[in-house]
Amino acid sequence: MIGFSFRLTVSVHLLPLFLLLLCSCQPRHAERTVVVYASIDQVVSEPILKQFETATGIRVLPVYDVEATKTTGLANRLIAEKPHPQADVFLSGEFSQTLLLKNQGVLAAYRSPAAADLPAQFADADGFWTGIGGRARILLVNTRRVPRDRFPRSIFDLLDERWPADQLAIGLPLFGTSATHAAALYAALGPEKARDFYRRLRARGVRVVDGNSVVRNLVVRGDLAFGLTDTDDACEALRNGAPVAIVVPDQAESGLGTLAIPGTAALIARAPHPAEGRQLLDFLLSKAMEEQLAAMGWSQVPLRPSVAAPAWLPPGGFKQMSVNLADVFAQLSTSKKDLTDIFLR
Amino acid sequence: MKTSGILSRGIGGFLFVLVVLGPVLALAARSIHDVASGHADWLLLALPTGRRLQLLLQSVGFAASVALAGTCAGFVAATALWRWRSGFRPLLLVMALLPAYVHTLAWSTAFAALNALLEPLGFAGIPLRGWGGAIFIQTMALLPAGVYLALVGLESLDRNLIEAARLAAPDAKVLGRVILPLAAPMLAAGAGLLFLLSLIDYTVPSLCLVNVYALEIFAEFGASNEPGRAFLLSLPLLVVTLAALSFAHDRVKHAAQTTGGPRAARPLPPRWPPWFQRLQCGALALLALQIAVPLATLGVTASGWRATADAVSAARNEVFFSFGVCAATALLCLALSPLAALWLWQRSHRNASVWLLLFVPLAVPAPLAGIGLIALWNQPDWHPLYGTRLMPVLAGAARFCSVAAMVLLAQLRQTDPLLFDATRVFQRRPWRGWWRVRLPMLAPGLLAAGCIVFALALGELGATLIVAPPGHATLTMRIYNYLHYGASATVAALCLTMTLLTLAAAGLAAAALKIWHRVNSNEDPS
Amino acid sequence: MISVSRLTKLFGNTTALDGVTLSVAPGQTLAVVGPSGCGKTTLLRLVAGLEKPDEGEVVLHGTVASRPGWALPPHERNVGFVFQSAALWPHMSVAQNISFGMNARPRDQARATLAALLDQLDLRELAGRHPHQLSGGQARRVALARALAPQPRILLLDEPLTNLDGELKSRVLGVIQDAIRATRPAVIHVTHDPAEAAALGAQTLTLREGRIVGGGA
Repeated sequence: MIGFSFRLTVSVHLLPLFLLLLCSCQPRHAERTVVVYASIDQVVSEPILKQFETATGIRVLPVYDVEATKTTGLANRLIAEKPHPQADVFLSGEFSQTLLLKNQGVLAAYRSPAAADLPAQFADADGFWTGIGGRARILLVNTRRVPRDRFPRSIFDLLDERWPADQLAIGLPLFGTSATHAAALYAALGPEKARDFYRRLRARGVRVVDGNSVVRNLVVRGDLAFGLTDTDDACEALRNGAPVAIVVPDQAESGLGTLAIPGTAALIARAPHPAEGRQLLDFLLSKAMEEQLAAMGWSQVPLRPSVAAPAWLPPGGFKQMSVNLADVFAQLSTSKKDLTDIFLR
Repeated sequence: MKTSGILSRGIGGFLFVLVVLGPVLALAARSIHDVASGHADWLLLALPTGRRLQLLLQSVGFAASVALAGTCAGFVAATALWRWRSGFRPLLLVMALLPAYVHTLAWSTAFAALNALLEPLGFAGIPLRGWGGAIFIQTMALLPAGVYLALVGLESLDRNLIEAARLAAPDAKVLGRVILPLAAPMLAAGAGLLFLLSLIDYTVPSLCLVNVYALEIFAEFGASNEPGRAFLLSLPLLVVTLAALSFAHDRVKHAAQTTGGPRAARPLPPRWPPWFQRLQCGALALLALQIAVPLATLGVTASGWRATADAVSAARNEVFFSFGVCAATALLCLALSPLAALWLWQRSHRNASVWLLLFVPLAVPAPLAGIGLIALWNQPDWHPLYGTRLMPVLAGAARFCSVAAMVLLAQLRQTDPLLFDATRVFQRRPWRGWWRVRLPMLAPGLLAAGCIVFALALGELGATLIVAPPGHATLTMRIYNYLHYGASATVAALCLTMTLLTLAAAGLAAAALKIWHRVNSNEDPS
Repeated sequence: MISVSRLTKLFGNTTALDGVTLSVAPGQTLAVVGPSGCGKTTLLRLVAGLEKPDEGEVVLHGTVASRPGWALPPHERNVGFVFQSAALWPHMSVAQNISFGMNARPRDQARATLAALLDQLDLRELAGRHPHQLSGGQARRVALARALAPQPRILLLDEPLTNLDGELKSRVLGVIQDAIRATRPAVIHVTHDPAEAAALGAQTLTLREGRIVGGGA
């Protein structure tokens, strides 16, 4: 038997715990703070949040999501924290998580005056979220492998036998914007046709990789002829001088159009710093900020018609898939269930 | 028993259960509540059938292959490294902590270069995809852990037992009939850890385009946002792991009943038969490649010292925060795990399977552990801990304290119980018994456990992200963020920094241990 | 025949054995006595081939078995060794422990030897037990049986009678004497007890600080 004593307990267990508690004490911030949960790349959002700090003197305390957690990170954290919220503002690079949080009662309504000029489809009718920057689903083509006259024109070219299946890829449509895109196809084509599209992709052996950034990396390396990904990933490759080109798919007159995905910003219900949260939203949602976000590469698809389009966009803009965000969100659970059955086996 | 003894065990036991098992228990309680409040059909999730059963079997096959390959190669390499000085061990630990994606990127780059050489010569390229690729990369990623654990197992053997066998039989037979069975408990624990780490990981399989059960859990969690459902879905992983470990344990339990003796640190050079020497060369070559390929890839990708310095300077807050969090996690685990290990050690004589309890927290996917932590700790009416810097420490402890306890338990099983009884008889005060005898005896295990927890906590992402205090991020969180952004030079620079950080931590811990030994040996005998 | 000349062994700066020369003929027993740390066990380990000498050499049956930088593997020396601790393999039963060194012999012969040793050392009831189920005295008897089982030409005994009570001690001594008579090994017996040394009818050699200071062979 081992001997124990009270003093021993104190030294072995309680002393280290006490030291840890001491270390964990947060310095009490005399200045005002705002807590942001951001499902947006830290690299692009950090400078903007710093700018807000400089402009207002309000300290921003961010938590950034990462793609590796398969979108189970911050949204679930917000739901779990709902009884005692820690965050004031939620920023997301897309809208499905935000709509989920609205349904779960995590968000508070706030109509920012700065976003009054935003087209109606990019803000929630009840004011629970507002669009901020946007991206689109596109085909990224390796220009060394595919001559310009043979560029794909549609996402359905992924089914075209002209292309060997192992030279094409999509992100696993269960997570992130690949999942949102699938739900949009369910809404636009109807569940039957959309399910059939993905079944045929699977049957053909098109590569289904871990995420959009992996699609980009494989196209950049020349492992793929082309792949379906997001504009933020594609523009990053273009900026780095990779031999790639962006094709906006399904732009023919009778075409489906492509999915534009607005980012979203929302205030958290019972936020600890609601005034600071509203101030941050006002800062982020202005037209001047949208222009800056576009210039920085955070936003590739302008939400306001008056904001200049980026260079990669065809003159006159592009044809968007005619679905509304609520319909897309409504299809998300069905599409994820179907696609789990198709792809996870 | 004295009241103080009961109090001591009570407090220690309560803290261990609260910190380590608390999040899992909170999740389990939530699932039971969900099931009881009209979701009885969710119970079916815990019973995989059809497609899910197929996925589970695939995952078990994948994890078993990695555990088998990693443990065998690790053991063979360890037999070759056994009699060398142990200065290279921190490097093994460091390589064990490099995130799986680094290995995947490194190996895919290496294979691309190899294929570029092979294809012009008319050979077919070697694709690093599918189950073969996934098993290869995962085994390589976990090989240092396999070697490390096998080395710990070999070095904790009683030298007399090996020498007694060497007098009667050639070294190859001694290896098979004596060394291997004696090291089996540690090898089984190591294989169990490798099995479990492979079973709950989806990163490498995803990158190699194969699906595993862990991804199903994430897909379910992502689709339903119901932690209760995801927890029930993860139960088969726990059952499979415990069943595999229990099976292995029943076959090696006699080897655990050693009576202690001189450690087998540097034996007389053994004479292995040529076929075994070839195997050793192969295993060492794999280990060398495991170290060289990722480091070379990182070094090349990091694009120079200046860029590395800039990346590290930009991430200095994360570097300091990570170091603090991981050191605090290791400290907390070292405070909690000896008691748990001793408790299990005493009980394991009566019920040899109680140590399997330690694997329970490891079998819960990280984000779910994070949700459990929130359920347990986000109680501002009771205490102000949630939202502080202690939360990532608690996340690391919840996930990895049982690993520390396992390492200590493995060491205790090789220790003569009479030494502890003697301490009890001769100590003047219990704390002196701990300070002068028990802790020095456990010191190598504590050092190893501390370093392993530090390394694991440094690479932790899923649970830390869920509970990180606003305004603070760990280096791993930053690396994953940059990875998505495609900043491979920055990622490489930060990974190299992480490697150096762990080396520094292991060096500091070893130095602290040396100083402690010196102070202890110079202490006045009065 | 054990022949050791000018044997020296260093551990770091410590000289464990310093120029020891001795020889033991088949059927002869040499008792080595001396205080703790005088090099007795190191001498046995050098003869067994578990350590390499820094100087001098060990010659067994007329063949050089160890010299600086080289040592014949222990299992090729036909040595039986009873360690200070019982050093039984915990994963093997008593019978398996004893039989381990007899694998080269025909199965029937090995079985007969095992049965005889179990009877002689009063271990028959314990044959199926594992070491953790044995008392200290029982474990030492098993260790002795294991050393005698292969009928070695050299027997090295490191305090083999520790933990044995009076009656059992004389019985075990009897077994050792029988074995010496039967197979005539050269025996080195390390002990601190002159009576034990005398019981095996031994010449005595005294070691101190690694050197021979009395007796000799």
